[in-house]
Amino acid sequence: MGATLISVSDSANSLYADGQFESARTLFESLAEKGTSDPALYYNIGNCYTRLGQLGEARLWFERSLLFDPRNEETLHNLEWLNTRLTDALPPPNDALLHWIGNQLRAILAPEHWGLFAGVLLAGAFVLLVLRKFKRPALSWRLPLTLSSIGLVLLLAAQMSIPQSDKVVVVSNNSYGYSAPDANGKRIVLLSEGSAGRLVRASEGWFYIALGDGRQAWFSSDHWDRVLPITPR
Amino acid sequence: MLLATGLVAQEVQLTARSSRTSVGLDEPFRVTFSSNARGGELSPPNFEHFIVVGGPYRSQQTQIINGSMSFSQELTYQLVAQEEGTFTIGPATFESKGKRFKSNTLTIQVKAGVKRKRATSKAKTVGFEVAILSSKKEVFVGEPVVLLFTATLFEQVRDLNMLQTPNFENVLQQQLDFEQQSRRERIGSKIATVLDFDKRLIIPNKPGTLGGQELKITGAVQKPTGRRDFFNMPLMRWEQEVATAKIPAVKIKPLPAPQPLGYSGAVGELKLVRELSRTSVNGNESITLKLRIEGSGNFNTISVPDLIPPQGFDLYDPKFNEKIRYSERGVRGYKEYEYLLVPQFKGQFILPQMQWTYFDVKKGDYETITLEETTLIVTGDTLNASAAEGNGTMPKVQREVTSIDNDIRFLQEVDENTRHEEQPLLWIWAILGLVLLGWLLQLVSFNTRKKSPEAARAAVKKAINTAWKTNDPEAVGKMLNALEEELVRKGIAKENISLFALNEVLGTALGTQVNTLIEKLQLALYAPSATGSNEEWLNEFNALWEQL
Repeated sequence: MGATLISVSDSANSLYADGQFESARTLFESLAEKGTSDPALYYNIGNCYTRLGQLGEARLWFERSLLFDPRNEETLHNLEWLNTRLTDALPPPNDALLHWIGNQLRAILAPEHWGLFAGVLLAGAFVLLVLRKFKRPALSWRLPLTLSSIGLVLLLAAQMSIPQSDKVVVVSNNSYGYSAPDANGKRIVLLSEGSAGRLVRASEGWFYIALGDGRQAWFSSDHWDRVLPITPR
Repeated sequence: MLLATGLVAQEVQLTARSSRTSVGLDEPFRVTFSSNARGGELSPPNFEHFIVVGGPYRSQQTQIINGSMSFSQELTYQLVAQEEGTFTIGPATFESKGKRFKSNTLTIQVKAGVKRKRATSKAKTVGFEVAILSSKKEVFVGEPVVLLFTATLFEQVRDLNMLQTPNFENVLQQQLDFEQQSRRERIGSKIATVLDFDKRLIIPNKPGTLGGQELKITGAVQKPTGRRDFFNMPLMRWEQEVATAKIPAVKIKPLPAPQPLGYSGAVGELKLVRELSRTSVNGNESITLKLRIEGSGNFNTISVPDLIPPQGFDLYDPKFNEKIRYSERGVRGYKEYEYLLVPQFKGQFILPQMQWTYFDVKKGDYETITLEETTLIVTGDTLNASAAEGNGTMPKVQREVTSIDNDIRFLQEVDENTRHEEQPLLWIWAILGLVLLGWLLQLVSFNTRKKSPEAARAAVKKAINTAWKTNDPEAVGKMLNALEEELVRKGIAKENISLFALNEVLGTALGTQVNTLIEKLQLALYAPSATGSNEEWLNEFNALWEQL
């Protein structure tokens, strides 16, 4: 299984190097469909879309990559490069506080590493408590209490650092915003490819999206894609 | 003829008199001011409620009778009443050699009945008539109407003047370029001259009926005096007359409801046009976009809709062009915004679809014009080159392009075994649950000791035995504390522990044994080198603990 996957990745790299970006994208996305969730894979898919001129899709995949690896310099570079080509795209609203804290924590350690530390400390506290109960009643309560507290904090950090995002990105050329979830409704905004917003709610083919300039409108979900969950097209 | 007594100041006499004291509406009458003084300045009053249709006529007269010379000067005005009622004409003033004199006032009664009386005999007596003819009897709000002002002259008429223009209410009014025309027509048994003397275009802006004040025209009509001259020709005189025209009954209909979303009030036969100078440009070129409303309609209130700008272009403030011509066919022309689009990036950009709604007076319904999306193509490499020059014409964000690499980074190595689990921290939460359970157990154990004294006593005994067998250095202290705590529970305070108190509470035998053990333990505690602990003490403690 592993050998097969590696050959797919190598094949995609070769195709990309040969300028066959569409084929490379297809292979990379097949990996994502099979469950590979390496941020480098998302980054590579973003590169393919950039080469293909689909800058909205490219932004979407770079955002996905940054979600799991917020300090990846190459991804940050490519996203900045993309932003200079998407000057008319509307930037998303600022992150919610909890999402921002999660990003900062994730920039320090991956969620599973936070979880590992928390698990070790909590397991230690549990062992001490069992000992105190059944073997060493004279054992002080202070040590298990300290371990429990630190472990709990680390567990919360691990939980908060799990990637979460309500960000959505325009992946078609343009997307009209309507006052109601109806194509015959009043058009109130036109967004270009690569514009981003926050998904407030979804309803039968329509997204109600909060934009960075404070406006909110209904958009056809065909023109947008969520950063999470990751769904290759 | 009325002669009113004037104000007399020494030898100067100033009087005012009127040809009639009771007149009908639109019936001319004369007011004359006379003075017997030479020189000076005679000033008329303000003829409020009246219109001056003739004059002023000045006359002077000098008479010498029996060697006595007299002088008089007169100032005459011909007036027409504007409304019914009783009105006072104020005094005229005469200034001479720094002195000021005033005439008497005149009271004039104006009646409508006099006018009606005239109306019945109009055909015989009226020299001319005026009328306002409307091009339409019913229009929508915003739909133009042409009004033609005509005068029908039954007699010779001269000096036709417009006394009162019809101030139409709630309309936009525009006088049309028009050459006066006259023609001969038979009206009843008379041949009359019909004169078209004015033409106006009005655009109503409120529903209802066209309203405003009447049109009043004055003119001098030639009429026979009934006398003949030396050659037996009839003698004629000129009489001032006023003719009135009513506002034509034009019904102004409101626009149908409900009005479509985005309708801004345009009415007529209109077009919305979007013209592009080109749809494909190089980076150093620009596109001229004209957005224009043209046709016939209420251009006074129409505004050109805002352009939904295309992405990827800089849009400068538009230039406004307008050409509007008022004619009998309505208001025709165009209003136009001319935009300059300067490309910022290479690629294909969409000029978005636009919609604009107006009311079509021909169809009697709202029409929506849709301008479809247009693709604009920007090619060439000049955009980046001109940005690098930094000539200040490019937006700031584009200059930043030069500060980063001109290309994206290459691919990264993919670890294909990386998997993100759906619930990555589930096992840790499970551990947290175990920890909480551990703490709960500690809490339950504590509570159990508190609730069951026997269990607590057994636990203490067990702890002391364990400490004793493991040679815990604190074993003696723990045993002593346990005994003292137990005695406290029996009602003997620590400071009161003595043989007497123990015998009294526990009985002589048990009290003595406990006292002995306590003394041994205290000695061992404070002088450990003097006495060593042994198994007997533990046995004694266990035996006494059971009895206590």
